[in-house]
Amino acid sequence: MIKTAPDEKPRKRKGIVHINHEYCKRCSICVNFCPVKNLEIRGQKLIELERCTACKICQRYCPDIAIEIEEIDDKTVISGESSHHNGG
Amino acid sequence: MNNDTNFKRYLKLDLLPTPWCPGCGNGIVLKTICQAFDELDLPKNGTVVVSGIGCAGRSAGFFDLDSVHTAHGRAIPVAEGIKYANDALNVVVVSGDGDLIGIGGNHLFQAIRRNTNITVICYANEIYAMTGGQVSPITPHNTKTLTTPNGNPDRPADIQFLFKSNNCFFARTTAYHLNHMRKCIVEALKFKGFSFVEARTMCIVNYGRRLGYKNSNEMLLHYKEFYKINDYAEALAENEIGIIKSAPRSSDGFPSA
Repeated sequence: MIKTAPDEKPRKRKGIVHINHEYCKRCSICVNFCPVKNLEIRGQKLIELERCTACKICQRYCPDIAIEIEEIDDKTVISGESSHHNGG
Repeated sequence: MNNDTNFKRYLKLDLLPTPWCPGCGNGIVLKTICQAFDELDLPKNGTVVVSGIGCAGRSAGFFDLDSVHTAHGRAIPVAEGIKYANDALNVVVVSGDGDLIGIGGNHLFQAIRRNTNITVICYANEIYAMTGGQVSPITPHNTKTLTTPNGNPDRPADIQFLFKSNNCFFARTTAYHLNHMRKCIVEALKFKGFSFVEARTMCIVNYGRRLGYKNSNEMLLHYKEFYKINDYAEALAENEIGIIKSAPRSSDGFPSA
């Protein structure tokens, strides 16, 4: 199941943001470019809020090659939902 | 691995993260160069990257190719020597504006005159960033830097006419216009003769902060608003990016008189 915050309209998730935390310098270019405000810096760590529409603008503008988007569809089974990709 | 991440084969991924500050645009240019290499499918054994000194000079070590990190300003002579020794190699120079136009200005001028078949990609952050933000030859007029606290009194060097007069390739692009930058680099690599791509990148730590930018994203959006694409024009205005149209060349590669 795709979790969304209670005050926000549930949106169809089309991508998983794979963040390489070793490469990421938290410059916040991706946070400002994301059209659906999917990325956020919390506690010195870049996290994903599971609203990705797979536009890949963050992947294109990331100067540190830290972001990779995996496109998914309805049938994709997301393994390790809470621990794998949202930054713990 | 899909098409979007194929460019990573040209990078030494175990050496990452890059040594640049958070928000630096050099990584965007590094990535776009690799994407252009991937688009042309350049052989790993037949490509050499040469760099000078400075922030941008550090990028040569990150290519999974043969690379040389030379003395300050002397990247172009070394690249020319490699090209003259083995004509089959693709020789690419990656360096900063202070290194290529400032310290190595004479070598750039002589390389334009000789018209060697090499490609120069200049990370133009308009500043000597590694040493703290001194004024560089292409810093705009009235810009505050470490050494010009009341604004730069000089006009920036407009080097496009040097290239135009010798029928060399010149392109200006920015870190915001990613597709345009990739197109410029691909065209420059295809060009038979001396080609130069001036890629404007943002330096937030030593340059943007003094000008009042809060983060590097604001500098990127400034590029979006300020620069207009004007490809294959006779000359580029201060706020235009694009490729300079060069005159037809004679068969020996030298400009037709």
